[in-house]
Amino acid sequence: MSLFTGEGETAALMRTMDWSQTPLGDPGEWSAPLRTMVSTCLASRYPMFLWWGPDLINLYNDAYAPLMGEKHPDGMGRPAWQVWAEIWDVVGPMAMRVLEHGEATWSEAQRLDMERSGYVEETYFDFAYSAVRDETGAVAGILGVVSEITERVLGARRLQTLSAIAARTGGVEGVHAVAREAVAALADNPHDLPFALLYETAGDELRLLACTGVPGTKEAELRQAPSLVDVADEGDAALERVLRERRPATLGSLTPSMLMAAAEDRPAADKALMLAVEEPGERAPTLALVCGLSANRALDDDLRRFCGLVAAAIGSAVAEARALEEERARAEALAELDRAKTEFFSNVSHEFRTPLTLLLGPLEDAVRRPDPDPELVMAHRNALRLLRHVNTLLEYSRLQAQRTAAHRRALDLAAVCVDLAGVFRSAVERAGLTLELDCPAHPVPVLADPNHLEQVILNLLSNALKFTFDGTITVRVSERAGHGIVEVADTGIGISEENLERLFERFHRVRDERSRSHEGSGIGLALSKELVELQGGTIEVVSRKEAGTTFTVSLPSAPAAEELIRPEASSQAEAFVAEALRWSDETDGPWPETRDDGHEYRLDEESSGAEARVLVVDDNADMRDYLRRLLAERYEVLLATDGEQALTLLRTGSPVDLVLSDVMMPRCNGFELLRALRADQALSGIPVVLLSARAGEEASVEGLDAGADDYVVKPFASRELLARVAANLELGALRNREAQRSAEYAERLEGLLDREHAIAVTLQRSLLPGELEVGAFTRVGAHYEPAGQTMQVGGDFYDALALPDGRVLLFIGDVAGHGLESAVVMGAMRAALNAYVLGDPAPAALLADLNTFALARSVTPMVTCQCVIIDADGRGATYATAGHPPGLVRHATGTVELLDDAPGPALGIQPLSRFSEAHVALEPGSEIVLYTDGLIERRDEPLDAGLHRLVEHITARQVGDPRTRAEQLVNGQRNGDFPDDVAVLVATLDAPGDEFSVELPAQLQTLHRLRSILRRWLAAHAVPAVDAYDIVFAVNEAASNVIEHAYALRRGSIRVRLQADAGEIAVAVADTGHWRGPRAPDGGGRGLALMEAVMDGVELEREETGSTVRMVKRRHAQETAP
Amino acid sequence: MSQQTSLRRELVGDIAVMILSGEIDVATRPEIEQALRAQFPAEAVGMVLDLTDVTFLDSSAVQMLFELHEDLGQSRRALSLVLAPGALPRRSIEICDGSGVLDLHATREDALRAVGGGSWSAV
Repeated sequence: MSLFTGEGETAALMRTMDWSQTPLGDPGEWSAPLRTMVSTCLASRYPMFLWWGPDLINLYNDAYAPLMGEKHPDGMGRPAWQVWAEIWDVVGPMAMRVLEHGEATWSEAQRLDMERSGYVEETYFDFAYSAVRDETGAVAGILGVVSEITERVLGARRLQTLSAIAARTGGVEGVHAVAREAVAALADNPHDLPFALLYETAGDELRLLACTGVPGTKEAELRQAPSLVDVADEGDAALERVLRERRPATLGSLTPSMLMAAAEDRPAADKALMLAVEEPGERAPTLALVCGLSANRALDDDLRRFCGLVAAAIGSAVAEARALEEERARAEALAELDRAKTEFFSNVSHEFRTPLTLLLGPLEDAVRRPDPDPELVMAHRNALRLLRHVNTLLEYSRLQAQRTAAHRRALDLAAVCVDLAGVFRSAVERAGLTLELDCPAHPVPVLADPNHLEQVILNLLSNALKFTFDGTITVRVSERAGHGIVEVADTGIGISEENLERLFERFHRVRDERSRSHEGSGIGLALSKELVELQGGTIEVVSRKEAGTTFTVSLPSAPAAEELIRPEASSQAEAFVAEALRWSDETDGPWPETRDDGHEYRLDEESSGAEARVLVVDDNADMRDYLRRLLAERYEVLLATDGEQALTLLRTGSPVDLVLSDVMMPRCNGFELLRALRADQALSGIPVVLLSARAGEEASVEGLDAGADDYVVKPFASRELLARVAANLELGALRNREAQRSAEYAERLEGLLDREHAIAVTLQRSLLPGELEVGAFTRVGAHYEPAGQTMQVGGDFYDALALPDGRVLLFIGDVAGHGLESAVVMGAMRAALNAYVLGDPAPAALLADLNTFALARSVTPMVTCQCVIIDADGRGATYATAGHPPGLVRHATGTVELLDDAPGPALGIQPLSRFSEAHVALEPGSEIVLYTDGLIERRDEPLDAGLHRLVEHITARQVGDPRTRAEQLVNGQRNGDFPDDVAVLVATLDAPGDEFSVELPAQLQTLHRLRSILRRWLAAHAVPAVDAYDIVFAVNEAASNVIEHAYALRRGSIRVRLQADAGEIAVAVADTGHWRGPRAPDGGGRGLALMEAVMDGVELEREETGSTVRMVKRRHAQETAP
Repeated sequence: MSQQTSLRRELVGDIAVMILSGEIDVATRPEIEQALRAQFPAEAVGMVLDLTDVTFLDSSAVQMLFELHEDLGQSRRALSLVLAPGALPRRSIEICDGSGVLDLHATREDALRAVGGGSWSAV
């Protein structure tokens, strides 16, 4: 029995079978075509079957046997419709069409619900059926080439669910909201998880947080439920055990209500997996997850692992939200404390004034009497001192609450300074210092509130006195550019740089400095600054350690016409002087309560460690100062006058947490600054809030479009600005944590990969395209193999895309290195490729775009690649190369041509790389082979040798199924383990054929693909552009109608058949499903009318099993194909 | 937006210029329509829809143009389309009898002039 040769299991089975019991009869009498097909089938390593004769007797090979599951070996030699009874409604009609019309069909990612493992299993297959003819030319059987892609489809689906959890929960506030979002993400994957329940442990009880897919009970009702929903009879106790033991457990017997769960669009659940959800950093599980599992999938290791990853993803999302909640509560408490303190000072100061006034009255009288009691004098002096402190505090609180207004008058600054210096002179001289006055003889008119100005100058004088032990205090008055200037300079101890920065902060006191007195509220300079600014002036300080300090106050000049007043020194001046005099009076010991041990009062002391730095960018000095004052209370504020200065500061200075920038600025405006920041990898994460007077929705849209995080319009309420700044700082921090979380997640995935080789391969495969899109008369197949020993995720990638205009793009690339980073870069490059092919892509321009894309990444990868675009008519292809080994074309004649005419540099090396293009002629029967260097690389051998071997290999072998071909090429080059990943992409051009049919899933998303295939076929038949457009339009209308109306509720497919002859193009668009509802595929008449408008004949045929629209377009004599 | 199509917006004075590219069909229409409406500033006086880079329109896409035209017309704002005379998608508009209703122009300048000139009053 030489027919069933080989050592395979199926060949052995065939040898032992009693064929006379089957309709095929004795193999000795089988027809020649049957014998040929059987031996072809048995010899193939690719899964294949043969359905022969009117009964479609099922014969298959070793590779196919695993796909049969329990149906093997009994399914051998039995009619296919018996073997595959449960899926015959799908595959039967396809088989019949092959038998009746002799045309080949193919189907991608077809879902089949098979019973091969003892239950109805959800499986996915790519398969192609072709007719096998007997000696008479009649169709006698069907050859099927099949590949199961269930694992790939499920892997991609599950990966998507995991990333959906991260995506949906990112930035969501509140543990409960996060739980709901996470479960909502699960709802999108009912095929793996028909239902899911998430519980929170609350003391001894379990409380339902969120659920999906639970029938008959409203979510609101469930939330009320105190304990576990009635999922399974033993549910409650089992779930508690899972939480205790922290090990997943299966619920095998679901209650009938859960078994009935299957709504129309979700499969029934027949089991559930219960898992403890662990939050990183928590000692005990806080949540419990019940995953309902599809009756159509077995609970295998993959599914267990998936559920475990879901639980882990929920755990870290919840932990994140919890941490955020706690942090926010703390921040709010601090803000509340700050408000309360200000309020407290204000109230206390008021409350102190009344009793102090009552105290001072009698004391005043007592000290004015002759020969006053020295104790009463001391009491009076200190009561005055106390009053001054209280006044200062009150003044400051008022300023803070914006309850102080400046009553500005025109004053002679020179006169005021002369007067106050006169009052102070005695105290200065008593301390052994010199007081110098440098005032112009003429008046220096300024606009200021006399009380405020006096307070400022007295503060500066007493400050100078306090910190100067010998030398001079100088008061200098001058006039400069519309301002009156007063400088108070001393030759004192000076202020260190560190202290200088914080000098004007309230309650900041210079620590450990030698001074005449340790008293003071630490508020004098802060108040001076507030007061100066209230006048519209500025105060600045310059100091050198051990050399002295100079304060410069600048006040706006008064208009020349104003009459100047000369205020008298008030009683507060005397209080200042009285106090200062005491500093040099050694006999008068320090007032007991004023020793403050150098303790520093700062309201935001608790948060000072984590104080955020805000960079204010504004060309307007007043605005800059205003913003600084506003923000300085809470944040460390840096200033820049324009975008350019800001960028320099950001690039060279210490890190900044937020940028608050004006839009309209000279040199580099806000938008330009924003763009520069976003383009700079190191700075792109900093939140940017733009500030502009350009009002209106549109301006803010422009700002946000440009990538700003927020947009505040001038004029703004200070409270609102503070709120926005705070919110964006928080967002920025959140973003950082988010990035960190993603990195951790990726790390976890990587750990998984290291441990489990099988998963590594699955992941790589799921990152590679699940299906290779092709156009008409072009088949594409690929094969990928990871490197031998070091089984890591590699950086090889490929893609084949049907372009909208009918062209077909082939792409192969190789990211340098291995590991998750390469895989991520690879994923990004593939995504970029898909985005860039929009429009009218050309290979060289595409590579230039991808080069720019690669260079824009933080870690610039080196990527080599080759891109080939096959013309719509299939008569040629254009290609470009980036440092990649050349692809090959095997022509129909058997000659092999290298695609090496357009060399270019690898991507990611230099900007503005230029790529050239070359064209290669193709014909039906041509084969294009693209590969990564792993294929031709062998240790201790030049690359040329490998390439030479590949050329020989390709020349020698006949063109076949591209996927098998790709695999064969890899095997042919194999010499032990490959040192690197290997990817091979093969495209085969068939003759366009006068007849062509295509079957696609009936989904709106596949319409563009259908159009692409049509255009390709029409181009190959030289149909003029306008006629081609009309045909595409008409077919698209017919297909849209079928999808929209016929398949609104159920899955199905749509078949388009094309036929060309000299006189006309005939098209048939058919659905294979049953009609639902009253709508017909003519779109209620309108669709049909549209088709009639562009075609020369339209017919609608309706049958029990489906409908067909037949259309013809006449070809004009001069337009027929040459 | 899906990989088949893209939308870009420019503002020319009070006129919003929407530049579409790719193929518009029953699958991509909802997204495009939503984007067009969302990106149209409330204060704009009209819209120029530049279809120069569009390669295919199905009947639902033409229907969308009709509806956009009608809705804008109701708030007395004009819609002009840019589509060169020889461009294939013009076929779709002709097939759906839209040539008489929709305001078609060969260049963006022409379309801008038409919108700015208050051509809505002819509606």
